[in-house]
Amino acid sequence: MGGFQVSPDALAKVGERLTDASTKVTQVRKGLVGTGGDSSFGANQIDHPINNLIDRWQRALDDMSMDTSTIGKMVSAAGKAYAQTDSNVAGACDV
Amino acid sequence: MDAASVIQRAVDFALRQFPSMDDMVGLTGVDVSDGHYYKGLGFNPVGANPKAMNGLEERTAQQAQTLSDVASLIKLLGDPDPSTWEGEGAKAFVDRVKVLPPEYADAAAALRALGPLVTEARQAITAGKTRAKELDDQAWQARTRIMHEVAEAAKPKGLLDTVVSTVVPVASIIGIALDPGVARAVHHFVDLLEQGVKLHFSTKVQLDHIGQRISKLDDKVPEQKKSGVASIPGVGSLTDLLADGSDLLDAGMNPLAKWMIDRFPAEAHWIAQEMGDVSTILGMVGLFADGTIVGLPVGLVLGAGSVLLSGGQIAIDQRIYRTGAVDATGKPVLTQDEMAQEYGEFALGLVTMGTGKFAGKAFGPAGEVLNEFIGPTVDKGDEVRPGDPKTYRPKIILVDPTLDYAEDKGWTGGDEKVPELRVRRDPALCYPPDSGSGSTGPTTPPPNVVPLPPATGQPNIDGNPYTGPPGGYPQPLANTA
Repeated sequence: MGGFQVSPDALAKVGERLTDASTKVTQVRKGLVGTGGDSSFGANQIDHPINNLIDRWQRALDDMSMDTSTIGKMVSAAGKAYAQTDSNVAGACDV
Repeated sequence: MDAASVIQRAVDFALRQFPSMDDMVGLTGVDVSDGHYYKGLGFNPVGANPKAMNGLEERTAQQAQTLSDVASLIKLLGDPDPSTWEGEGAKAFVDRVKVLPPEYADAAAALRALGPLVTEARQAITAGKTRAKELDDQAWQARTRIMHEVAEAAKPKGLLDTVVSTVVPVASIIGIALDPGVARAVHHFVDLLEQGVKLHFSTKVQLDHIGQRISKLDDKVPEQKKSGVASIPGVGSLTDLLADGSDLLDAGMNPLAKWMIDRFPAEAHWIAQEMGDVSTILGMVGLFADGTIVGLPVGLVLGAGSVLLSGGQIAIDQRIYRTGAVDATGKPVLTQDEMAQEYGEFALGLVTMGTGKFAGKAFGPAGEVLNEFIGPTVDKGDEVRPGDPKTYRPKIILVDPTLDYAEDKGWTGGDEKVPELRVRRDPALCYPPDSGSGSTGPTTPPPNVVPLPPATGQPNIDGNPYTGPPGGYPQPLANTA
């Protein structure tokens, strides 16, 4: 048997939290822009490693945020689908 | 010791310490971080600006905390809880989510670790600047000392007019033996210059070490999320390695090249040419291999071989080129065009390594590398444009108010192409006024010169009792002879 055995509302909340988490990560990622770059020590020995480090982690955070967001949307969509199914079933029983 | 040997020593030292252009860039007399003018040393040994990264530590710490919070949140969501999460879909969800918290935790740890390293760098720079200013003060006193020593030595001998009119530029005084007191004073000043240059390089080494530790903070970037040529298997952080081409040569090839030239002085250029030829062949075969079914691995290996050989060739020939060696007919052994050609062959190896699957990602960094690489190699014989950091080679300038009347004599700077130790007169610092030149400088010591003559009976710098004018002498310096 596939699927989740969890309340649709809980599933939707998990999705929202994941989406929120992704948003926070995106903010951190944006905050890193300019951490190196022009604002530098003027010492290549330090500036280059920092810029390189920030660049690497920025790209990684992009991917991680995307993963998180995607999972969140999938979970939210699953929650909504289950909720809709519940609603449909309930409606059918009412008839 | 005569002036010639002292000046020659300074020139030799400067040339030895500044083998590449990028070492010179930034060594100007003004510190942009606080506006301090290094009028004693004539250059700022520690050019970095610790204020430029204010707040970085706090900012990255906050970002790290946010990522830690995100990691904790997702970990809670992903923890399998039989009462909440059941079924295959839940398992798939948990499997996918559970990899995220460690990744976020790694990112948080990296950002958290960056702060203290930035602090360490800031402290190293600040300490270096403090020391630089101490040296600058001492150098300023030493300059003044030279001035007085020259005045003292020249007056009784009637040499002052001769010295003043002859010492333009400094090279022209080679051959004139100065008073031992003058020589010692100049010697001491050159020692201070040396200390300034050493401070520059020791700070650079310190920052290098910190930079290496910062570089390691990306070790845990998820592999599939790394980008660029750094992810080529077996090559490691190629981007880092090549980002500063001169480092590659300095670290690996220059010692080899030096040994080669020392061991085979007559054959070194020929050997370099052979290395270049083989490098080209490897590069071309590698390019072909990149397009075949064997593809990347063979091309990568051949490209790497090409890069190494080409790098060796450049390291050897660059040394020869810098000496300005000529052949029996008087033609240069190596011209700038030929050096450029060698860099082109080096590029071929890089391109070979970067083609195939990684072409798009490798070309960009390779281009940047080449720009970095070719830029600093402007050398003797090339056009040098003051103000252009790629080509301008700042000079160490001795500002001595007594010695040099070059500007008065119409000297316009002479040859701008090589680093030189020159003496330049600054009228504002001309104390005491020199009767021989007609200068009208101040008749009292500049405010930042502390006239502390040796007490009566105390030894002068040359060990003899001081006999100079009272109040006109700076603090006695240690006998550096």
